Amino acid sequence: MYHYDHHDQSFVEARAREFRNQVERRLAGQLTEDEFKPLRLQNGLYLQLHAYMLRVAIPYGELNSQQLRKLGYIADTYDKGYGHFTTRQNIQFNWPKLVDTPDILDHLADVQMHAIQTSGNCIRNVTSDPFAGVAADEFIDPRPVSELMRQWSMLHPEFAFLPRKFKFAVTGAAEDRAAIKFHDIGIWAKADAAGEPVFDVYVGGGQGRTPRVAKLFESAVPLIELMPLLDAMLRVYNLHGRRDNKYKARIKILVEELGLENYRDEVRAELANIDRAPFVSVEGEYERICNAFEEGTPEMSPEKAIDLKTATPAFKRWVESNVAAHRVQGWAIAQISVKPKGGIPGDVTGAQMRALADLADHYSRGELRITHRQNVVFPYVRATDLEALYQGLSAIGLGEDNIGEASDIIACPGLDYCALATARSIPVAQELSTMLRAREAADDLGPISLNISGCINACGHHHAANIGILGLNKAEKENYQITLGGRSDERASVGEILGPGFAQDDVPGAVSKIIDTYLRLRTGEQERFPDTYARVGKEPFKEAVYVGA
Amino acid sequence: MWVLKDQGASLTHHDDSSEGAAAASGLRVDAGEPCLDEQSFANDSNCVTLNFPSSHDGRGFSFARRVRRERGEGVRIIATGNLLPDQARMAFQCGFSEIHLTDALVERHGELAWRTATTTAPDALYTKSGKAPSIWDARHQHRVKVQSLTSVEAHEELQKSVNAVLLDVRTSAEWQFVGRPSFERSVGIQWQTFPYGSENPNFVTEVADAGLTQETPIFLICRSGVRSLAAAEALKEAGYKDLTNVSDGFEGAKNAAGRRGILNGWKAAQLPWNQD
Repeated sequence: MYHYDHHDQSFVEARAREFRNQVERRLAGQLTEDEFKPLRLQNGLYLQLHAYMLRVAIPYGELNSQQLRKLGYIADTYDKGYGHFTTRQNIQFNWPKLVDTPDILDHLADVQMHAIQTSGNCIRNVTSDPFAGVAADEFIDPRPVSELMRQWSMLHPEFAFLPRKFKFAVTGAAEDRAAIKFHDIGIWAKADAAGEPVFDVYVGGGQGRTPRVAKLFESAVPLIELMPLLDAMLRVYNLHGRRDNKYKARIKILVEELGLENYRDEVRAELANIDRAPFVSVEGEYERICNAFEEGTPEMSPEKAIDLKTATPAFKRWVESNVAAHRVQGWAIAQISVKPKGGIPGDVTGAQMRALADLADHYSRGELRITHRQNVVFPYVRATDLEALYQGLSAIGLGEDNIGEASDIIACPGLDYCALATARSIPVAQELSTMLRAREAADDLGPISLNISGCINACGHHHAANIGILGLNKAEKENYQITLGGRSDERASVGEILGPGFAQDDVPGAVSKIIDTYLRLRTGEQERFPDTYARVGKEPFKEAVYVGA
Repeated sequence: MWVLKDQGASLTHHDDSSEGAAAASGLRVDAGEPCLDEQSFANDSNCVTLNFPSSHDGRGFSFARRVRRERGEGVRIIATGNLLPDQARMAFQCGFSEIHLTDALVERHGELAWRTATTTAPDALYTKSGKAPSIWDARHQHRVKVQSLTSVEAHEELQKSVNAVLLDVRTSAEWQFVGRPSFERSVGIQWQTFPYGSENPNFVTEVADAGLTQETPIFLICRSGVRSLAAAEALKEAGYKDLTNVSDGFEGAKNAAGRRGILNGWKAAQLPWNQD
């Protein structure tokens, strides 16, 4: 993985010092709360319902065991003993005190981490494929360009006060596991005929109250052109994006109001005159970053595949649902579900973090990833170590065998924590998880994505889910609207609203009927939920949920 | 009113009328105005003032970038309105030459916050932005130069170093028949191979295989400093950073009689050497 050099290190240390100064000025009353807000947000610090929340960046989701141990230490020292993995592959702490946050940033800098731009109207943490570098279907490792973009966007003086937040996602594989088409800019890295990386650039995707699937802006952009292009795309957005209404301020609205062609013309005119001096070192830097990743990645030789014939049923099930194909034979990508039956999606305790760090040292060369589905990935597991890993995970309550299944629920923190939420997400997720785990034990439901957001801002990605649940507040009562047919992969689409919403108690019943309908109508186990939905449409589901007993 | 200038962070108090008048003579635009590019690019005044309606509105930063690019270094670009001390860095890096502050704004944040506005933030950014040093350029724009030392100087440096390696790039025949320098951290890798003198295609790989990293100080020696210089250039291309060529080599240049080993070089300087 990437390791900081002295430039990176002094950068995060200086940034932590700057934030300490800002907190002191806020406490001294020199900064008003209104002025302090964007400054603290750009260091990941939110003011939530009950307390401050600190969101720590995990760039492109990659983490080493030492860093995870430090996160565990922060959870135990400054929080209530746990942390929460987010849909942007980050981690959030829900209970830090304002005065402690400069110290937390210093602790993070000690292990080459930071909280820069994990919030605010700026370029956010770049997300990527959690299988990057090890996926069997990969064209180009997306991490080097993600790291290049992390550096480019860090404290970019021009783009710290954009009309609204700005999210990038990068993938480099045949299957899109990074949901790039639901991002402001999505980048799909491919290899040209000579094996050099080129990038398809998508623009204007997003969720929130106006969900949009991103459109192709330009294909096969060479590396040397990519960074000037991104600068030009952001500049046009910064100058022309709407600032009169924060709900119409994302780039998806600008692209829609201008039209893709007009937006493209503006960007090309900007690009024709753009100052290229900042980018003269881009190719050298990309190469340096590639080397840094390669140096940190040990050689893997093909090994013996695992024989499941004699395996216990529990382990066999775990392998079938949680293990993905690795690019090197005899090795495996192990996905660790942070969705125990009836649990809170993405929550891990400090003790679990330390135990996971130890397991990563034993079985994954000290490296792990956080996924946008709020789970953990061990990218370098010997197939012959899988059973020992499974035992180790089970011992710390992380042996759930439900990756990609309906109970592998994404949920935002909702009204239990979030100041924006209109309804609770966590209890709904817990009830659904209990119901779904029971059904999954009895039947093979196949892969289904189920995501829950506690408000229209859609942090729980409900639009992009096969089954999406949106918590609203109707006449002072929590009400849950269901959408069907969304998907976040390379065939991205936005889910459709099924009909009137449900009270919290009625949600599991409705979801159960939706699943019954799918099981009844699918052509076979091979037909996935969104494919069945696309084929049969909304009506049979509506009929089952609202009319059927 | 107060004026904050550029990265040096000079903050000075001014009579409202003098500075205000100078700025007022130029073009004034609000960040929200349409077509501000066209106006400011066409404007022939050498002063453009941009008002920030609120510290949350960052349009002015992109605007300044464009004006600076179109109008060059000669134009004064002034920021007014509601900026925070923490945004001064961004303003200067985007091309503003000065920030005009009201007395109230200076009083509330404190003079100190404005004076230290650009020095509390990280001083270098990754991409080049205004006068801020660029980390990418620092990483890549320094050209590695191959240092040149005589054999006597090189021997002295080698004695002082704890990890420097003497890399002898002559042919195996030369090592055997002419002799080789005596130094404990010596490595022999042929730049050209015996007997045909063709270039060794695996030179860089063999150097790496011998355990020499890009950070290892390497002193290269051949017969008279020509092959070793070519070899050093090849290593430089491969990312090696600390390279020294022994300019007079092991045998040195030919003397008037056409003989080597007398005029200069490692042997003639009576530095330690041995023969198989």
